[in-house]
Amino acid sequence: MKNLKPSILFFVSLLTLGVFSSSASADDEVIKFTNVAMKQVVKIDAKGEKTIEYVEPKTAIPGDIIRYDIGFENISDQEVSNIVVNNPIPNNSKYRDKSAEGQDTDISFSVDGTTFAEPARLMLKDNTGKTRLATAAQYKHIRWVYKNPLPPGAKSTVSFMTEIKKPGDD
Amino acid sequence: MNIFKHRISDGKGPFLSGPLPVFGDHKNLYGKNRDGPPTFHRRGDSVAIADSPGGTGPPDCTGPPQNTGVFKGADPPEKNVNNQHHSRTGINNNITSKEENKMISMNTKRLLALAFTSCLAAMYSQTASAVAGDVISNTATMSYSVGGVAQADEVDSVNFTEDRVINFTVAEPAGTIGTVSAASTGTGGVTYEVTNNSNAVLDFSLTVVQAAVDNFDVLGPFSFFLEDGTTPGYQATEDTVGVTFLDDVAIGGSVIVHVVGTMPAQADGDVAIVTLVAQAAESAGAPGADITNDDNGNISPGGTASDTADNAGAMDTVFNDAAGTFDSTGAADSARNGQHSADDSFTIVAAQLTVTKTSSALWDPVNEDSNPKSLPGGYVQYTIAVANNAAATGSADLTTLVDDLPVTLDLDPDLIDGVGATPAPTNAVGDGVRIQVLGSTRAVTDIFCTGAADPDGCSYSVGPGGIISVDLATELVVDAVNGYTAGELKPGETVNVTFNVIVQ
Repeated sequence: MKNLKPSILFFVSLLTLGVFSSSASADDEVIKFTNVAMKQVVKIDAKGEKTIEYVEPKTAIPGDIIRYDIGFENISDQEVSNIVVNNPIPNNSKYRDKSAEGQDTDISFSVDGTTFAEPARLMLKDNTGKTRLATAAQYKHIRWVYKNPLPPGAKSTVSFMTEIKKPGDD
Repeated sequence: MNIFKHRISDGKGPFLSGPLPVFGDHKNLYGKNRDGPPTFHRRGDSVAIADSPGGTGPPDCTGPPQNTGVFKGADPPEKNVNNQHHSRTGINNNITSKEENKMISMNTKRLLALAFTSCLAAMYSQTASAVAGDVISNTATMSYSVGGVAQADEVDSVNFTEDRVINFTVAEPAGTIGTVSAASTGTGGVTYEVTNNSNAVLDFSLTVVQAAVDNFDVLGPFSFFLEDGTTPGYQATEDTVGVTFLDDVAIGGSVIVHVVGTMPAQADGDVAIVTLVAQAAESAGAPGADITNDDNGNISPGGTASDTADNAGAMDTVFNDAAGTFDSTGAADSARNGQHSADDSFTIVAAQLTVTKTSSALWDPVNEDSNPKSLPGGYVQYTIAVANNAAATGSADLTTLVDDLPVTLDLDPDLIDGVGATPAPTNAVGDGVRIQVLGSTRAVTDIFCTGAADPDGCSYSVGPGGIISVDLATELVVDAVNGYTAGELKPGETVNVTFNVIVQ
């Protein structure tokens, strides 16, 4: 119990007394982790100027661009380290080249969920056995390695974008 | 937004002693396990080579996930939860009780969570194409340590439903672009290709609209023939007739349909414009019900507008078809109305024939071939010229040419050449009729036939005042090498039928 703070001990005491139900115990949480999908909407005003907005994907059809924001916040009073976020490309979707972002992260990709590398070195054997550089549309997983510890109260976000596949896409 | 939280592990038990649970090749990526700081590959390191996605099998996801109670500590995060998604992932069926959950080591939980996520990803990555109604699910997993002790992964998913976009085209397929030639009073078929670019299988109902800006309307009702692929293009005896709608056109699929009608009696060069209008319809049913409105206020002709609140958790319908030429009412076909259309046309092709009959005295018993006259016993040569104007757009299919002689004339059975005191047959004894084709590329252009009652195509009822009959469909034989059908006289060609008569 060396990592538990006093409030947790207090909670455990209350639990022993039967004051809280077991499902209500949440005051020793470390990370608030969120995953949000937003659809890109491009608007062109009367002057012909283009603005890009992101809205809830209430209507989502092939060709739509979806941005996913994955947030993590240290809500504990201890430093969090070795943060790695892993995200398979969602179904019916293809990754948008160069769209993955994340401050203070190293970003790598995988076409099989096993072997990760940066885009310039992510190779793929095609059906003839020939080794080729994988294209963005072939990426199946993204991994962000957060390079720094995350102090208490700090938070960060990583993101990437996909396009919903159209008929004829692989 | 769903927030997903986890407790700090107490750091005891097998969880500390084992290597990092892998989600991917951590060893290769970091060089160390999670006890040390992560290090990233640098340029110059060996490249990462993966097999073709099709070559490496996905994780075995066929059985139910075991002990998925890993999610019990915090329910699996979902937005706009869809039952279909649950059934696909098996989440609900495998949640264990909190008590059971407690018995699972955190290390095991992590592995299971990762295995589940991998499984989920592999299942989804096998979805080849986007289909309306699919739940698009994104799952992020975060691993981390506190005080050097790896904690249980955070997992969060966000879901939304892919909506149905109605997008399709009607067009003239390559190779059939341009007007279709049709004979006056004959039948003809124009060809269209209907391509379903929607993310759902659709039926299409078909309507033919005839423009008022052309020369004539094709006689209805039209028949629809489906191209069977044996011989490209419309063949009445080959393609599938009796179609009244297009059934279950696949996503990304297309169908070739021929619209066949009958031409009225029209002049050479007259044009009829024909528009095929396809209306999107549900695939369920045969035919499925027309989809006459979407959920964004757009309607097909006759539809009732519906602008329902968009719902990320349910499938909406969105018209996204382009503008065509005419809609099913004959008005301009606007974009996003669930219909698309294209024009094609029939052009009447006909021959422009002229028939000219000329005669000249050939020989008489007194003057012989020197300035002969039409004396009794003399010979007069007749030539009937049938010409198809060079400006005509179609060939003539010649059949029988008949000349009824007056009683003062009788056919010369040998078609004498009229030279000298005793003229000889032009070709041979008994060859009374000569047929010559001028301006033609036929292999045979000079033909003789007899006036006898035989199958050679020419006949004469014996005696003065008889009838000469020449069957040109027999005389002008099929010449496939040079592109001629039987009796065909192409524009710019003339056929001369020559015979002699004897003045009585």
